[in-house]
Amino acid sequence: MTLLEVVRKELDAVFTLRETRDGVRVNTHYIYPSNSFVQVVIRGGQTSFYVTDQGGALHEIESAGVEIARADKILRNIVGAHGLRIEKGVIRSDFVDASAIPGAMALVANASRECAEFLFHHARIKVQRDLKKLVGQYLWDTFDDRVSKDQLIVGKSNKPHKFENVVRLENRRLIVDAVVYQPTAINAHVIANLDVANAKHPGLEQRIIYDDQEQWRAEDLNMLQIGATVVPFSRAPEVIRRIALIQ
Amino acid sequence: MPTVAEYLATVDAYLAARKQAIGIDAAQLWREGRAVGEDELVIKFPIEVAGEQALTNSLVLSAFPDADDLKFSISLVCHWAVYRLDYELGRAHANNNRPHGLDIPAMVIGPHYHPWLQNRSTIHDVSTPIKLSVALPLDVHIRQFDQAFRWFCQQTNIELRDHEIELPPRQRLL
Repeated sequence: MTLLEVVRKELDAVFTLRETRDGVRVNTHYIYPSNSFVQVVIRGGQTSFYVTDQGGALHEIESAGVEIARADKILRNIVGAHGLRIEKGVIRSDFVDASAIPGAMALVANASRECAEFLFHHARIKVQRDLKKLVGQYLWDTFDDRVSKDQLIVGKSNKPHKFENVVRLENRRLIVDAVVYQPTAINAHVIANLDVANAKHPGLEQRIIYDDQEQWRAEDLNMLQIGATVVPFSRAPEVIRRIALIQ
Repeated sequence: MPTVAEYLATVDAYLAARKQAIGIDAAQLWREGRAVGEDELVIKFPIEVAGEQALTNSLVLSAFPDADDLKFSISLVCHWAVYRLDYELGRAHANNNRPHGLDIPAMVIGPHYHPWLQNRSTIHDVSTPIKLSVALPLDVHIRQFDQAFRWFCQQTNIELRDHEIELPPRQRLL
């Protein structure tokens, strides 16, 4: 076997073309961070075609255990620089004629690999801290035994709500409610705070503390504000001290 | 943030421990893959070890019901995926940085898995996702999801008696 024949045989085994129900799938020469070869699919009719990675870049990072929100927004610049589009995590070319298929394939495969590498470099282990514990510790260090734990306060509905931290100030009480970023928890905290606020207890102040190291969505923060004034944890000591000083 | 040594030790212990995937004994709804708009459906199960379910640990199944051939992934996650099975005919994988002294083929084509043991020594940074860049071919006798799922659970010490997990049916007619 000549060298040419050896190389051709090995390449043919890997860089395959495969007809699918709605296109042709190709193993390209590009490699993802996991060492998988980038695949693209060519779809089209008689005269115009487009090439897609079928979400391969996003699948690559998801396979690594990472959930990426707003992928299109994050990757639009990378993909756009290649003259391509991304929609719901799928990278694709514009329609091209047959002669432009090889170029479009290379562009899509290259962009898909580049996006996967970008996501691998930028995904980070989420540093999780126990916000409730941190807030409780801070209040205990600052206000000592003036902090009541798990105090029940009755709302306008007549339902008692349990709050983890209630600080007794001069002639006033301050509810400090630490909320972690869990959609199901948010609603419960909002309702409890709102119900208690509507009861108009004299001298009762309320603050909701959230962890601003976490990526909160604006709508969730807006939701929290319906319950009470919202304070990011990084500013909580300053805000709580200020409230305590007000006579 | 754990150091590399701490992370490796954590994963070693995690894999060695008896684990339960919570919810696999009941029918589950597949949801659309969060990022991938084309084809992918996902289920994520919490993993319980010694009575505790950490947010960082899960079993993730991905299915591609509209693919022409059987295609799915199974990943065990501990912060990052630490053991993964990719079932896809024709998918090529290069083991170009395989560790010395282990019997690992240079190329794998078709269904394969990314074992922890063979990837462990390739991990030098855990602040970003680990790449599990070494893959081994899956036993050719494993040709169905149920076989693959049972095999994966056995490899990763996940308790499995009965399960109700079925791959989702095709979504599109064409």
